[in-house]
Amino acid sequence: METATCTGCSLICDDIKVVVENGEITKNFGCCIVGNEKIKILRSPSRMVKYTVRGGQAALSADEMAEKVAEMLKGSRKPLLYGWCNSTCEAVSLGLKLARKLGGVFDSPLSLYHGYAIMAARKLGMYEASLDEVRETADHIVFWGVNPAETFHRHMSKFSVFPRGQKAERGVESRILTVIDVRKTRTVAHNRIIVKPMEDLNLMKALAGMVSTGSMPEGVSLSLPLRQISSLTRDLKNSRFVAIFYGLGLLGTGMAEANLKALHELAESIRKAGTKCVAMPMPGHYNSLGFIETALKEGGYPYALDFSQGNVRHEPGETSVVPSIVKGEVDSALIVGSNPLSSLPGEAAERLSKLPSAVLDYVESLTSTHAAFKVPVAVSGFESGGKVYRLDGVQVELKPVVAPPEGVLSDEDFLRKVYEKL
Amino acid sequence: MPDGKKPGKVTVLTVYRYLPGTNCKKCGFASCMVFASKLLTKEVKIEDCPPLLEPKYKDKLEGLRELLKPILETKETGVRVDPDKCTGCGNCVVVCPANVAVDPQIGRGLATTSDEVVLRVEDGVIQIIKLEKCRRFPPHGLDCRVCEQYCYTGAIEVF
Repeated sequence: METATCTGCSLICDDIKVVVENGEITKNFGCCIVGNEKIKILRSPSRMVKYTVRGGQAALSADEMAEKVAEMLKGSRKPLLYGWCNSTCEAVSLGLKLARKLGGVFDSPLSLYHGYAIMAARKLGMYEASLDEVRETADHIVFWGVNPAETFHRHMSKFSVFPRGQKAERGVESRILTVIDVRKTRTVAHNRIIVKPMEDLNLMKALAGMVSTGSMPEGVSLSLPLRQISSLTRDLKNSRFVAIFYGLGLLGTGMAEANLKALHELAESIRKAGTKCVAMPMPGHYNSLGFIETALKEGGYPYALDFSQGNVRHEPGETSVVPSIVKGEVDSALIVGSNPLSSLPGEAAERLSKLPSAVLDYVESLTSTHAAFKVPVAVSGFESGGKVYRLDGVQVELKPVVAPPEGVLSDEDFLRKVYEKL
Repeated sequence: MPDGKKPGKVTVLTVYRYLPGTNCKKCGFASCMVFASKLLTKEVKIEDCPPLLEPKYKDKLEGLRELLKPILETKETGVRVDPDKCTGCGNCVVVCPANVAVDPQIGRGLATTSDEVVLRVEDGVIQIIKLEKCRRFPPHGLDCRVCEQYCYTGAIEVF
């Protein structure tokens, strides 16, 4: 029985136990459905295992492919190096080195949603408590615009709700659960608040006012009964430690900036009322925080870095992925652990599909089917190691338990080969 | 009480509401509340409360019999899991009092490989291991349903 680390989501569960027989994981204990699917992929017939060039017949070796990818990048005026949030910090670091050497654009999906939230949370001290501390001492959990019951399956059982903590000795019976969303989700709740779309902003303002002054602020109208708001206010103020977790419900509606400002004002008013409070975003990609940390440390900015003019430039409206593609700035793409053709806005996806690209992944995606160069890579966590950051900023060293398929490297090792051939 | 599911959870307070509430002590216990808790653990029978058998409490007696029927008449009990609905979230593993008694670390959210637990997550879904340790069975005989209550996919059925 060995201990493994799972990279199914940004919880990075490190208490997974696996049985390894003949170099394969035959049983796992602790993985939720997402982690279990990731383990099933390791030896699945649908997994990408060959280095292939579109239109070519023969499979290449790792070195031959690295040579071709280096050629593509060298011949490019300004490449886009995109993805990275499903890679270890070491791979991100290599990506940055490549971008700097090539004078390219270095970005991740975070520039679209969670990047801004993570930066704001860092700046305002919202990572002051780890998930472990939440487990031990938080007595009021708020899920706002996020649905851990369907996206972070072990969040409640491992950290936020059910475990017995030092100051939450009866687990779920020692905590209040508030869930705020536009529909009734499966996430368990004591206080369930259904808001109208976009109404979150007004609710945050209302709560901040009620917590600070006891009365509703002027000009804030809500579809919710006052009873519900004053009841939630009382629950917030009477708690010892409120932990707010939020997601795309607040960030993906085009009101991210306004929502975050109001959310942090609410967190501040809760703190001023004498209750400990943190508010953490929940990014889906497992090393989102690691990407931000590495980009900040080694690039100077958290995302959307443009190295094409000597000194690094960071202007989210210009140097991030969508404007770079749509304005015709970039003429090739290295895509690492991401599927932008499925997730970027239409025009950007359309233009990207026509650029020469190299894709590093372990399953076929819409993006890889349009790629000139398909590079199979190891599954970080179960097959390859490195450093990643959990969604609360805690560092985890991945513990691989099996080897990747014959000839397949980790993205870090493949990128190093490409760098050496530049 | 989280509103994820509304099973027939019968608590001491629910039972108390069907009792006279006079604390007459004819049952031998200090209060009706104590008698209510003893009813749930099957240390007493409904008939051990003499006032309840009087005509003026007929409605309460009938209501109480109806309320406690599933608990008192059930000989066979168990837990069923639908693996197609289970997402391996582990809520049931962590809340199960029998699990926590086997290993307190389970109660703190950690994955378990123990063969002594009632249920554990294996290959992404719940597996029932030692059902006989479930608190519904003797010697406890409690109407514990926390696994079913906190399962948000309806994968667990307690019968």
